[in-house]
Order: sequence, then C-alpha cells, then structure tokens
Amino acid sequence: MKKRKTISPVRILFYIILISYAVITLGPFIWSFITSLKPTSETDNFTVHFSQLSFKNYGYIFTNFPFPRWLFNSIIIASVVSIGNLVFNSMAGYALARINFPGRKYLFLAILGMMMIPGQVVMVPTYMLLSKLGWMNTYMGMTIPFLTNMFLIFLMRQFFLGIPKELEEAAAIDGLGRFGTFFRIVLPMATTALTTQFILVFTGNWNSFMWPSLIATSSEMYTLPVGLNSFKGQYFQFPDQVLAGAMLLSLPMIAVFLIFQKKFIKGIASTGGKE
Amino acid sequence: MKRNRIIALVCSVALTATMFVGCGNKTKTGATGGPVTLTVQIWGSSPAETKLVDDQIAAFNIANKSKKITLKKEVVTGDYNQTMQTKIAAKTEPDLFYLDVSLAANYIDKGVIAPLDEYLDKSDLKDFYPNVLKGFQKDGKTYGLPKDFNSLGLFYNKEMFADAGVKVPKTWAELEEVSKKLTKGNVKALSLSDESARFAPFIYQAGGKIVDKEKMMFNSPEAIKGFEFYYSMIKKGYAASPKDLGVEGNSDALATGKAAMVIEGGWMIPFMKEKAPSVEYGIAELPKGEKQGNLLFTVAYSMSKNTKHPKEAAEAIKFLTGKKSQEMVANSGLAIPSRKSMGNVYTDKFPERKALVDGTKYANVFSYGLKHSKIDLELGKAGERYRLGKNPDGKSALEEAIKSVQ
Amino acid sequence: MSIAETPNENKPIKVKKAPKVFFTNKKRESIDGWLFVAPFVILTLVFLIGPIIVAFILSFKQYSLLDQTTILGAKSVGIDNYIKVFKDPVFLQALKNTFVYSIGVVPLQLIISLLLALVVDSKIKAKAFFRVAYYIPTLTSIVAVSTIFLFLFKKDGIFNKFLSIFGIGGRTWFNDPNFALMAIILMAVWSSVGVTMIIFLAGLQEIPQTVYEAAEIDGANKFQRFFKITLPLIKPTVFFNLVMTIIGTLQMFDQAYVISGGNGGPLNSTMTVVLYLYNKGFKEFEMGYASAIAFVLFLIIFTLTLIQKRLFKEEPQ
Repeated sequence: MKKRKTISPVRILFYIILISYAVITLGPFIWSFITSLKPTSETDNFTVHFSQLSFKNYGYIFTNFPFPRWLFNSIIIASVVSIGNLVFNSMAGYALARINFPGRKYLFLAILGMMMIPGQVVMVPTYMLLSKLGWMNTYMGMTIPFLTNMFLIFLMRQFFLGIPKELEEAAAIDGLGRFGTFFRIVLPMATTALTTQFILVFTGNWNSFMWPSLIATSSEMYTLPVGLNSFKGQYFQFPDQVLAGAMLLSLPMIAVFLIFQKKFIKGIASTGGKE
Repeated sequence: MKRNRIIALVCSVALTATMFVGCGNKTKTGATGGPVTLTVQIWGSSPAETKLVDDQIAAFNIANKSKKITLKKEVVTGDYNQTMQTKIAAKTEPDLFYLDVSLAANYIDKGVIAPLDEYLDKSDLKDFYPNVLKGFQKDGKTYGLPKDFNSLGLFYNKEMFADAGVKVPKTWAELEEVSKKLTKGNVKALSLSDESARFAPFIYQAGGKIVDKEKMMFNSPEAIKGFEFYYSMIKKGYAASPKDLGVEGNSDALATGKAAMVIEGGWMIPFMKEKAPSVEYGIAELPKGEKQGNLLFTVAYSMSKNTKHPKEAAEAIKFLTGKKSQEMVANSGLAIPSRKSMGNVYTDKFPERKALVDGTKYANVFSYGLKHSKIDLELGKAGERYRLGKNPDGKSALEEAIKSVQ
Repeated sequence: MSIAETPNENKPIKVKKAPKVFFTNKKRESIDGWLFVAPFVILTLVFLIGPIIVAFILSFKQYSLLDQTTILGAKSVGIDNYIKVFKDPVFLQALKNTFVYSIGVVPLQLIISLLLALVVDSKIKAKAFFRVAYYIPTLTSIVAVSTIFLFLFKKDGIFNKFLSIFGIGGRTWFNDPNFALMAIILMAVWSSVGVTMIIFLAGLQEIPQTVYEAAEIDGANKFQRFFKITLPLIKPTVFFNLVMTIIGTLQMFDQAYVISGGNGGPLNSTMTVVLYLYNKGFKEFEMGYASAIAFVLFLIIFTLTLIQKRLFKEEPQ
C-alpha cells in the first residue's frame, strides 16, 4: 500500500469546505447553548461576557419542575413507540417489497396516499376517538396510535428491495418459512436500515409536541417538550429560558445519535454472499 | 388473512360510528352531593403569573374545604385556542376556563358557555369596569367575569426625551412634533407594527369605529383618518416597523434602544425588567385626536355549558374574580385588576402606571364581533399594504380589507 | 428488479429452481403477506382511516369546532366548499407559495444531503464528528432556529454583510414580500438536510465495497463510479427521499407559522396551504372549508406522487 507523504491542496480545500459547513450547522446550536447561559438582558447581543454566564436557567428548571418525571415519560414513550415501529414497519415494508400478496399494489398506493393528508384536519377526529376510548392522560393514548408510521414503512420497503433475493431463496431451501426467513435472515442484514429507522422514530417522537400536549392534561404526564414549554409567557418569551429548555431536550437525543451512528457500518449483505 | 381483515374493518367502523352517536360527556366527578372536583383550564405563563393563579386556587380550596369543593388547574402548553376548540368538539372541555375577549362573541353565539346571571350578585357586578365587563355580555346576560386586563400606553425612553429636550406628547400634533426631534440616524421615534391591535386606538381617536353591531365601519372617513395618521409616522420617516428596525417586536425596539417610544400594554413592565433593566422609561396616556381612544385586552373566567357542576363552577369563577383574588392581582402588578375598587390598590403600589388605569375610561375591548379574527387579519394586511405602498392611500387599503371580509 | 444484481464471484450456494413451498404457493403467500401487514393495517384503520373519513364528511359541511351539533348533524353544503376553494385568491396564492417553496427546497436539500452523505461515507478523518455536526440542525428546536435566522438575516445582519462582499445589496429578508419565502427556504434546507443525509448514508452502506473495487480495477474514475454504480444502486433511496421531501414541503406549516406569527405575511408571501387551512379551521371557525382545502391538497400531492412513481418505474417484483 502506497502511503501518500504529501497532502494535496485539493484535499486541504476539501477539508476547509467540510469544516465550514460544519460551522454552519453547529454554529446556531452552540449559540443557543451560550445564550441559555446568558442573563436575559444580554440575549440579543453578539457579545459574550463570560463572567455573566451561569447555569441559573438550568437550575431553575430542575428545582421548580418535575424534570425527572418528564424525562422518564419521554423515555418510556419514545422507547415503546420506537420498538413498536421497528417491528411493525419492518414487517409491513418487507411484505410490500418481497411477498407477492393480493392487494399489495393498492395497499402501497394507499400508504402513499395517507401520508399526504395534512395532520391538522385529522387531528380533531382522532382526538375525539382517543377521548372516547378513555385514553386521555394515559401512556396508552400517547403510544398506541403512533406504533406504525407510513413514511417509515415506505423507507423499509425501499431498503428491503435492495437486499439480494438469493439469501432468501437459500433460506427457503433450508426449510425456513416466511417468518423464519424474515426474523432470522433478512432482519439481521438490515442493521443499517433498522438503525436509521430507530434514529428517525426516536428523534421524531422525542421532539413531538402537539399530540402529547393534547393528550397529557396533568403535569405528571407531560413529556419533556410539553413540560419545557409550560412556562413560556403568553405574550413573549425570554430566549435564555426557552433555549435552556431546548438544550435539555436535545442533549439526550445527541447521546442516542452518537451511540447508534456507530452502527452505520456496511451490513452483511455487502460481502456478497455467505462467507 | 381475509378474515382478520374483515374483523378489523368491522371494528373500525364500529368505533367510528360511536363518535357520531355522541354518547354523553365524560364525567369528571361523582354524583351530586358528594365531593366535587372542578377543573379550571389556563394557558401556560411566566412563573410569576403561575404563582398568582396557584395562590388564588389555594385560597379557594381552603375557603371551600367544608363544602368539599376542590379546584384543580389544567395548563394548556400548546396553542390555547386550538386545544380549547378540540376539547369542545370532543366534549371534554373543563368546567371553567380562560376566555379571551376577542373570542367571547363566538363562544357566546355558539352556546358553548353558560350565562352566569342566576349565580351573580347584581350589585357586586357594578364593581367591574363596565367597558371591560361588556366584552363578555350579550343581550343583558353575563357570560364571564374578567379576571384582569391591560390597556395600551405610550412607553417612552426618558433619557432620549431628555436628550432631545422634549416633553411627553398629549395630542396628535405634539406627537408628530416630538417624533421629528427624536428621530436621529438609525434611531426612530416610534416602532409601529402592522397590527390592528395597535392602530385601532388611532381610529377611535379620530372618531371612527371598527364595527358597529356586526356592521363593518372601518372604511369610514374617520377610520381612514386615524389609519393614515398612524402610518404617516412611518411615511415621514419618524417611525418604522419592528422588523425594519432589526427586532422582532415593538417591545424589543424599546428595550434595545432602537426606538424612543412604543405603544404597548402593561406586559411591557415585566419584560423591560428582565430584558432591559437599565433603560429608564415612563408610561403616558395615548395622545388625543378628536377624542381619546384606547384598547383593552382582557381575559375572563367562563363556564362550560356542559359542566356537571354549574353552581360550584360559578362559585369558583366568583371567587377567582372576587375582591380577595383581585387584591392579589393588584399587588402582583402583572395586570390591572378588573374591579374598580381595586384600582387604588394598584395605583398606590405602582404610581408610575397610573396612565394605564386612566386610559381605561375611554377604551374599547379588543373585540370586533363575530368576525373578529378575519377582521383583525385583514386590517393587519391592509396596514402592511399601505406601508409598503401597494395601496396608494388608506382608503383603498381599507376598502380592500372590507371586501375581503365580506 | 429495480436494482442491479449484486455480483457473486463465487456462488457458494447453488440455487435450484424456486421451491414450491415458498414462492409459488399463492395461498401461502397471500396469508403471509396479510399477516405481515396486519398490525399496521389494524392500527391504521382505527387511528387514521376513521378520522380521515370523518374529515372527508366534514368537507361537505359547514361546521365549526364550537358547534354543539355532532358532525353528522351539521349543515350540509354539498360541494360548495370545494368550488369555493378553487375560486379563493388566498388559497391560490398559498398554493403558488407552497409550490415555489417545494421547488426551492427539494433539489437543494437532496443534492446537498447526498453530497454530505458521500463525503461522510468516504475516507475522511473524524467521521463521527462530521456526522453529528451535520445532523445537529434536526435536533435544534424550531424556536431557536427561527430566532437565529431572524437575527442573521436582519438588515444589518451577518448574511447581508456576507453578500456585500460580492457587491449585492442588503435587504430585510423576512420583512420583504419578495424575499421572505426565499429566506424560509434556506432555513428549511439548513434544518432538514440531516434527515435525508442519514437516509442516503444508510442507502450507501448497502452497496458492497467489492463492487467499487472491481470497477476501480476496470479503470473507472471517481465520477464514473458515482454515476454508473452509486447512483443506480441507491435509486430506491433517492425515490424515497424525493417523495418524502416533496410531500413534506407541500405540507409545510411550522416554519411559516413561527416566522410570520401565523398571518402568512408579509403580504401573504409566506402563506402556505396548510397554514391557510389551519387559520380557516381554528381561527375563523370554518372547519368544513378547511377540510375541503386539505383534500384538494391531498389530490394534488397524490397526483404528483403517481407521476413520480411512473418516472422511477418503481415496481417490486
């Protein structure tokens, strides 16, 4: 293997562009963090007086609100929803990609169609349904309706289309039925797809605001975004307080992303066959 | 399997059907005679406001312990209007709740809230400022009791005034004169936003009206005069809209020293305290045109028509707007108490805010009738068009607005 | 097959003709198929189809959420709502804005996120850092994003200072009816690129390294490898991202709501279809009309998606 001794200028330019874009994406986030440490009177300014920075907003949130409870709620709900989605969406996506069952084409079209109805109009009938079921202010109300997701079924379908058929055919010869093939052969090969799905579902659910704010009516059932919004003023908001809340909300997500993005390795499929 | 599918289909149709049958309300408490728990719904607010409401609720619960009535609060953290309507449609609305005056006409018209008259003391009702209470009354019946209110005032930067050597303007002419002197370089005399909630007072001051019993009046010559005067400040260069000053709202303009004056309400006070504690400002009454005019922003406690405990809910409403609760409001300084008897408590504690209370006498509530939302939206757009020059004069801008509302 | 066959230099398994018990047994296939989709179908029938039907019925009625009648009992207006939609100048303006927004965001977002995915997938140092950095905008709250963008794009803000280097004059972006939408486009691309990026990344992982190595041996350069191998192999992913981004942008609500304060200004330039129907339904108490608008939007998006599907020839075997 040849080892390059000199770094070409193209390479340097390349890295400069990469880093510049990283600055563009990280900048606002870092600014948010710094602003959350500023006193309220300083939030509009560009300058940072390091002596005036403090964690007072964070302290305030922790001492005055049931933050651990909200965190717990968010974790439980996001986890249940994520696991449900991983199982149900993958199953449905696989069927759409690989199983030739009657009505498949129309089901896929129906899925595409349902993604296109703006949530705002179905919001009220859905709410009516949930309240009739007695699921207001319960974990059930905040998880069960969200256990599948059409976009992600679509995503899984696309991924399963890309998995080579030979492996499934081989499994069939070995005597595994559809379920066996799916759970024991296909799924393990789709780690990247599953990881992507997990990150998207978890993030989406973690940050979701509208439904939890409608369903959770008492403070102990709030999820993090709902709780952190509950002390925003009606006429204005103080950026430092709001951003402290936003930071607390995003930190667990970053942790999840950091853990799972390591899984973005090439799956077993890439080796091209049984080794 | 086809069979699974049919079962699922039947289940979902059955569930959907139950929605249409409209089977009763979800009861929140037991049979009458036993202990009663009421829910009062409020929107999320600053920690100070939250504490105030908590104190009031606690006081109510103590006073009603023997009657076994407990009041619990429910906080709506998202869009209050959206959540409220969703709950009403699903018949899960709380017993009593905040109602903004701009929505009162619609709620009354649709029969969503119950009249309170049978539970009220007529003589006690007189203690409320009449033009504040009027926003929640129709055909002689009262549908809500205002808990507090805010009016608009001219908030001015004392230092800038001293530098320019000007005094607080009391008339339109003085306002213009003063603005000329206060405009220096990038700093404008006024920050004026494209909201009817800010230029309506000028329409009133010119002798005009927005609506009169559901009839649109904002294209009358007087209305046009007030509208054009407001925007003349911008056209003459003495004022600018907040975004053009590089800030989000009028309040920020005063806080960051981009404008010498803003027309805002009592909510500015806690805002300025946090955002710009070093800025010394004064509060004056709005200037006089043909007459004086102002807007009142108020919220009442109203009772749902479908509540299972109207008598107890009415008691809660009376308590939360009663003298004791109002005293707490006055002392907190967060808004002006809606009872006349508490006015002095407020101004004694906060003499610098007297202008806000004085402005109440000639003010109208911020409610344009049943089409309030549409009118407010179209008026804002008219202002925007006129300011940007899409309409050559106020008349065409307002005529266009009237057409869009019909 | 919609993707290229993965080459197998050495086939360790001799594939006999497809066994009857698996692929050609139609009855078995249809049972399995429906069993696999059963959980999804049941959940959707209950929690989505039901409400959609109700919303559809609502679009033929005159109804506000405050009405004390049930939905079925509300006054019926036939197809009046739908006729009104097509004549409504604000709706048409909103539709135009929504399309402009979509046309602005989709290519920009897809191209940038694909480039980022390729870069992050290649041999660079500190991959993890870049992956996180590029994904972070999706984790930054919309409130923070709009505050920051309002700040950066104000008249004397950084963006204008940057433009002045190229001699382009500055303006108040979010307050100018001609440019507010453009500024929102930039904001949207900035915050959503991370999502499409990780999806592209996942798609890229499925391409075996051996394919690239074989091509390199055959003498293909970087560009040829990209256009002849990468692009065709990630076609399903591209299709997904394209459809998803188009649907998402045509339903844009949050950014317009936050930036314009809900009124779609300045001068209706940031009014999108969903913002319009939201105002109609919740602020002007016309829920029936709002439903009609939603279904018109649905029809438009559905037609577009069908066209895309045709173009991509997206059919599984």
